[in-house]
Amino acid sequence: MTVENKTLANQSETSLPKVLVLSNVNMAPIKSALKWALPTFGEFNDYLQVLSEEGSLAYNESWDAIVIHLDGETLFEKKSVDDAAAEGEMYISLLEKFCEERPSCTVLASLLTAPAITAMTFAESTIDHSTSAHIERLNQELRALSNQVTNLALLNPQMITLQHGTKQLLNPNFWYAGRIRYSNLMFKELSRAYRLLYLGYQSRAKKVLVLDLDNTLWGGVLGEEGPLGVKLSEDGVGKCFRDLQRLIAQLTTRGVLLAINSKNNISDVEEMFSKNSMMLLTQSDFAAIKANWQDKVQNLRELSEDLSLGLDSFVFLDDNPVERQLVAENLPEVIVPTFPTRPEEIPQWFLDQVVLEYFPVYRVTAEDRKKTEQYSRNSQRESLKRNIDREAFLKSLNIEVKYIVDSSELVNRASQMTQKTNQFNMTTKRYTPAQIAEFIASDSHRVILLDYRDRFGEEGITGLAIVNCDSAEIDSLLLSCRIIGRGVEEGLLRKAEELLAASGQREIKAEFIPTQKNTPARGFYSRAGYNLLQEGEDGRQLYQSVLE
Amino acid sequence: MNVTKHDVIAVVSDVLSLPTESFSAASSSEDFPEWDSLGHLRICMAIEEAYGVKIELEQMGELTSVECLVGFLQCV
Repeated sequence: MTVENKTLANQSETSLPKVLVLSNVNMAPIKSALKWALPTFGEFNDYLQVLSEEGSLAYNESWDAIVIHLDGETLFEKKSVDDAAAEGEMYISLLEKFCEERPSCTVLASLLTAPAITAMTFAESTIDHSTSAHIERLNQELRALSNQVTNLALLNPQMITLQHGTKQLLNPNFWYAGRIRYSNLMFKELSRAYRLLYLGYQSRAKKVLVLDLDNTLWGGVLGEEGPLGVKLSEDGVGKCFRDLQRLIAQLTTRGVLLAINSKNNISDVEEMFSKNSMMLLTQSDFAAIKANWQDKVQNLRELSEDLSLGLDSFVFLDDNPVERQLVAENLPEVIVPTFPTRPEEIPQWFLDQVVLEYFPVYRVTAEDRKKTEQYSRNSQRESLKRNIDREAFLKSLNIEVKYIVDSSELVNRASQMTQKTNQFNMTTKRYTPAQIAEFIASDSHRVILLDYRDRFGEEGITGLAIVNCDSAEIDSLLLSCRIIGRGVEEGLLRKAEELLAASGQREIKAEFIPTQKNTPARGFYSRAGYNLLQEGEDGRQLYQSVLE
Repeated sequence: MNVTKHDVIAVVSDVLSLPTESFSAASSSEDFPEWDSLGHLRICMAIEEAYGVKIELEQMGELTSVECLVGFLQCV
């Protein structure tokens, strides 16, 4: 792979997350694989104790994340299955208590996996109180808990065991010598999986998948073989590409944006979409299409502008090593994975090396599902914008804005916006769902969400402001880039002022903290009539406004 | 298997994060606080991985010096 694991691995050591690892097996050998974290290990099998005592390692120190890796087979190595199930129950209730009392700590926990063979042999599948039945039930409780608390993300180790097989992953000699259940391979895979889960939890996955067409989305060359001559079918080589399309289509349902970057005539590509019935992806699945004869590097730059998303959120798939090299050299921020040379390897490679590696998510929100639709509507709006003047354009949109204040149902969406919004973001403060929940519960802070719709459809929750009523400060104010330039930013600011005024404040303070990406937000407070009080050497600006 | 003490010292010193110069053929677990029971298991795991061998449970406790590890690898 040309550019690998750029995201967490190349951070300097001091910025690595502090992680506590708890388990019922000896996890110490994972240390050499855990390069993305600064790990501390609990004593062997002390996970229940650490979770139960308020003064323990888990409660006392401030961890960025706690990994609780519970081995299902080990948990059920008790004389009676019911005893083991009772320990599992106790674990889940302690986990619930911990998640609720330490909402700012991210908890990455494993689901339990059942042993391959038990003494019940085939009857294992038929009895109610079998090890497997208990494990299924405990896993359901863990799933329910992850939807109930805001800081629990789950990892199913089957993601690893089903790929490699337990014979390669378990280590009976080291298990009996020192309670080391897993092989080095398992430790490496677990380290990778927890790293990606953490990345997904922090909403730091990539956003755009850019695709070449010939020998990438179908076999063969469209310009030569024609829309019905390329390989795309339900059998043979054509099925490899059709399966890849099926997987890509699934990505759009969870909010990944698709774009095309291909050397082809646009008319041929349009013909392919309309004439080849084996195409699973439709033209409307793509937020933008660049099918032309210009340099792919230039196309990627233009895609970044059209979609208002930085190139560091792009992954580019192309079967041609020369094109890949060109992009990797000129646009180092774009991820360019090596494409398999054998078509039969494409679908599994795509899942493991592209989807899991660059697009990990730990849960899916309703907004994610609507995203592609929103972005392609946006390009319709952009073209409308070019043709008429701004005011007439805004008027023609029939914008409707609603504000939602302190909604505990929208905690995840609010957090996601603080994590993902880079451009129109005044302070770029990132908050976890748990921190947002704390603001909402407090008397001092108010969390305002902006719900936007216009005549083209609903954008949903796309703006956020957080105000501190005690200090009269606007802590955060941001808008999704999808709705920048529509004149709603000022409305959001007025709503924030209204809430501060309602709490008795007159002198409002607001701050602009510059980042590499938030130039669109610079100068906003001046335009809104605020006075610049001071500007630091680092470019931070402090503003004030006195309400009438 | 044709294995020298230098090969084994490279693995052991890497696992224990100690310089290779600190080791000789005679070095054993008693010479280094880092070569404790967990350290020993990690050394055995690294040897298994580096040479593609399996160390039996009952042998593991005996391979606590560079010399013993070299001898074990030469016999497989």
